[in-house]
Amino acid sequence: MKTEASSKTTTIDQQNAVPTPEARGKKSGRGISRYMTVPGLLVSLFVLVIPLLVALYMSFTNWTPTRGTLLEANLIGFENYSELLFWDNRFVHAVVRTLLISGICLVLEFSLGLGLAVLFLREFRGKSLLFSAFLTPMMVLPVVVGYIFWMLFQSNGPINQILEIIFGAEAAVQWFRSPNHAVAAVIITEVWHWTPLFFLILLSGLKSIPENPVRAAIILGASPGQVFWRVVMPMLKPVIIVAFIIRAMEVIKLFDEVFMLTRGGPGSSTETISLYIYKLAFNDFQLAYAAAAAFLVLIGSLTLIHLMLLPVRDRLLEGNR
Amino acid sequence: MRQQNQEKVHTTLRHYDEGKLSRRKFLRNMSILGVSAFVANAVSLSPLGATKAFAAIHAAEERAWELAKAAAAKAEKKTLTLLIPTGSIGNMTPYVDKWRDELGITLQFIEEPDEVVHTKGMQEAVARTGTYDVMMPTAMSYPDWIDAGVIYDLTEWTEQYDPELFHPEWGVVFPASHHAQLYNGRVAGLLNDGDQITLLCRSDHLDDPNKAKAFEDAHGYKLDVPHTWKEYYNLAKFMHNPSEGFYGSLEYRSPYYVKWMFMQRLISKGRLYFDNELNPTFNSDEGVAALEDMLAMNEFLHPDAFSFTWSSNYNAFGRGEGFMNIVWPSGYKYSKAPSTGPATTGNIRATVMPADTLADGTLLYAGLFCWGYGYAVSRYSANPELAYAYAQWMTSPTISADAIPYLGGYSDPYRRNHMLAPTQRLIDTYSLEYLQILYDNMVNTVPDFCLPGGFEYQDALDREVNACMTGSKSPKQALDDAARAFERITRRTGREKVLKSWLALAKNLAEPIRKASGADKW
Amino acid sequence: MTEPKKLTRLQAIILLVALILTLFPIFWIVMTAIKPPTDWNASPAIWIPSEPTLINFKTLFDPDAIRAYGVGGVSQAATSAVIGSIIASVTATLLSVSIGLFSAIGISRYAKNSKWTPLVILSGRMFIPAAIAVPFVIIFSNIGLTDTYTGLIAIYVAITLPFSTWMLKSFVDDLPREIEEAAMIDGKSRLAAHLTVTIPLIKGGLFATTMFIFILNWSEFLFALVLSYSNINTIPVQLAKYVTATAGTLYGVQAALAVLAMLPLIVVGYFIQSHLARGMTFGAIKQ
Repeated sequence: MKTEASSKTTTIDQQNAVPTPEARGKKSGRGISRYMTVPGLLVSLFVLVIPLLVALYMSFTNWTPTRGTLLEANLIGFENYSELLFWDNRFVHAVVRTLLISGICLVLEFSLGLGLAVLFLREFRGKSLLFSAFLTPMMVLPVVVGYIFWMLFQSNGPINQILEIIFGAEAAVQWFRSPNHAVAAVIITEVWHWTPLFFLILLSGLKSIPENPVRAAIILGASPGQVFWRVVMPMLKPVIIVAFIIRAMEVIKLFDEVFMLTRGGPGSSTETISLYIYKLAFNDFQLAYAAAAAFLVLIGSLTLIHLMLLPVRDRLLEGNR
Repeated sequence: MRQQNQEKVHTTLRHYDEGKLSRRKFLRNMSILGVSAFVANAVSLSPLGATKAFAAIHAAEERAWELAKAAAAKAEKKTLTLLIPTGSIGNMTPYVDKWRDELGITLQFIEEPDEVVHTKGMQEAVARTGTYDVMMPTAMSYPDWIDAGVIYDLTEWTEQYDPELFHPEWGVVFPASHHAQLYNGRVAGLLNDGDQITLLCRSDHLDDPNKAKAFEDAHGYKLDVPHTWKEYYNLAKFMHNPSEGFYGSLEYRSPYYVKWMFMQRLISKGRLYFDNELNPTFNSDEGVAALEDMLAMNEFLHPDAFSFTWSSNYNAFGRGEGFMNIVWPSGYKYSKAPSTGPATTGNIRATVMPADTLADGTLLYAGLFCWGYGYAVSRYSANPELAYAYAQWMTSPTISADAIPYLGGYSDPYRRNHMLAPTQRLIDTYSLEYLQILYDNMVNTVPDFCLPGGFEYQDALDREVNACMTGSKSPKQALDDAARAFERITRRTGREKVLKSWLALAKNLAEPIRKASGADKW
Repeated sequence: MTEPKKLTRLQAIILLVALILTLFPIFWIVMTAIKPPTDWNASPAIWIPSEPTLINFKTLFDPDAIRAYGVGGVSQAATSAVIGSIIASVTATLLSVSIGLFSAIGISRYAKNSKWTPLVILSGRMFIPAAIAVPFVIIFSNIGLTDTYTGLIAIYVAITLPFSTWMLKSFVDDLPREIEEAAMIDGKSRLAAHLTVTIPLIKGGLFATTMFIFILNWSEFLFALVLSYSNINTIPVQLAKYVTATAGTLYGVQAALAVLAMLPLIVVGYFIQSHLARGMTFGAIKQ
């Protein structure tokens, strides 16, 4: 897979990179330009390598601020890691919970976004206005989204009022009181916030599907359902994959909304991995321990995302040429 | 204005000492000048002469002021920055002008939400920005902050400038004087907020003759404020009338607060949090019984109990939505004031926290000292002496009595003179009866987890109690899980360190509680 | 696809319901922002205040204003947060876009063979902020960058750089190289060709990218939360200060700040909506 991918890029590059003789001659000019990526790389290394190294070193110590400075702390080998993986239910649960919430959110956002995008292929009045309206949630700050839904989900809030009107007085729910409802609240919030992104990406994908295969299928007597699932969806696949990866990258970071909605409660039933690390580090100040958790998560997420990127990496790198 | 007042006080004192005033007239004049009856009475009888005796109770304030003047004159940075919890500023703003005008020191307040204050302090231990001079954490922060080297050990200053923390007449009430200010026997901070929980009842319902009769018929004893947890339950059940939006009680079931409801019941049953070897003791029959009591009460609680914060709780009670409430002293203030307690003003009867019956049949009255802000001095302050002077000045017997009644803050009485010899303003804000109740309750208080890693312990407990209250864990399972979490925290924090601090804490508690828990034999 | 069809009645209803669901939360925050304190948390909730007021907005900048309603608890003005947000977001956006622009041209034009440069830059986005916040707090403490805008801006640049680089790269990719080469034939150096030819040609994309990065910076919460003491403050941090686990909530005041915070983003977002898909997908999808 990997070799295949790289060889493909090379061929493309060879085609593209046939420079005019004049350009090839300007070696001196190229010298400066070659370093154009250096500032960007330096900044990226600053966020990647240095924190990783610091986190790695910290994770092998028993440091907390109550034990003096980092350099004075004792090295304790893999104790933090074994504790995290074999003792700390909260950590394992937070990881599983984050993946679960992410999965549910992605599926819901995808389905709703796709449904909406398909409706937008039809013609109706005020379409462009509606298009803007549907994108609005994406523009709202995550903290604000969390706060809005925190208000909406209050026991005397409008969501319960509506539930009571439709399903009777018994239907009101204490959203932040039971673990399941609290998780549901988090998911609903996240789905409201990011369905528009799926809608946007899928709509632009749908619009760029060539008409000929679709026409041909219709002429051959395919039903609209068949056309959609057999012809349109396969052509949409790369776009869907991109959408999933982009969202997956963000949703596993889930923090702001949960911080405002539940702070991880009740108990630790909505604690995402971000929230758990935040609490370890900035409530309990178990900095070394938090660093171990952070390091595991960083490595895990980097691997996961790079794996997910594999199928579309070249598409991203080539910039669709 | 204040200056003028002080001059008048001194003239009155001099006239009395010179025999120009009768004792009665003297007391009246002093009272007009805002001096508490207690102070006036004490100085009028003093063999030293009134002027000298009056100086004695002011001494802590004056020593602090002298130090402040000296430190302010030396200071290069003319600003004193205070890290304080949101909502507490009202007790400090009245003195901003005095510090600016007389010392040339600008007081700058940085407010953070209560639960963030500890975080910011610990971050300062790492970042050492020197941003803060004075920091105002709860007593639970002291152990970690001292160990992290972010605040000074104040002991030497207190020996030199004597803030009169343990004075028999105007010292901080024992045992709060110890558990809310000391870490391993050394002074870590000066208490400025006597946070304890007490019980409020609606007197209009207690005094209703129909209800009194019905209650007595049903239970065989007189309708009154509850004296035991059993009576508390009976009352809540009896008064609970959800169809009219009137609920038995408003105690907390919300995250962050719910642990206190459990801790209070646990200590009422004569159990502390650990034994003398730091094994958790709450996953015991008493702990399970405490949680079961709470589960049984859930039926008679306000529907918002699971999301109450102190202010929404005070407001709901003030609107008349319940018969009883478990509140900090500021809750009494809220319920008493017509603006915040339209339904409760004039209709409140308070009591110390209910007792529980021990195995030997005796009643144990125990209180919970929870939260409890105090002033600490940052190690990275540019003017630590000035910061200390501020702390001592603000918490001195005289200034604190003046500061507490201000609205817009939530500082509550903590010195003996606040409760037993209150100024008129304190009486107006609370009431003589309630101040006495605060004293009676405070002498029996057990503190929060004022230990290294205290926040971790308390958070772990809170999570599990919360899980039990929301029905996802049985009482026994929740407490066993909490105990397991405690073991991990102890191991990580260092058993020796926590144990030492726990034994120091348990040494200074009320005698009945030490006896019931067995701590007297440790 | 085939010629567009009209909506059926059912589809129209679905669309309408979706529209209501999308806009209701925004309606709610706006309504809360103009509620007087008595309506903030009324039971049952009040949808449209009978006496709309601007007191909440006023309180943001004059904390004592709300005292007239018998509400305490606000003593810090949001002014510093608004100023702080502007300083941090604007500076960080300009820096991120400038660095990103060079990286984008560099990658698009000269680094075609090297796959790792763009991926290294992209990896910055894969880091979970809560996880890198821990080492950052330590590093910043040791070099005195805690509680400074410099520190906050440095982080903002770093975490938005993947977006600015990749989004701009996709615009540069769209541009045929021959245009620059023509300029080079005219005797311009490569750098000059980029400055005078490439950049003006992607003006629209540059603007969209700048706005997009601004949205990201303006929304950032976690780093601002852990790095701010007293010198720096941003709107999201201030917003979280109004709701605490322990004290009460100043619903209306908080909602007013929330409205102020999201208003510029909605406007900006509207202007660049045709580029949003490209930005969000690192240029993988173009409209």
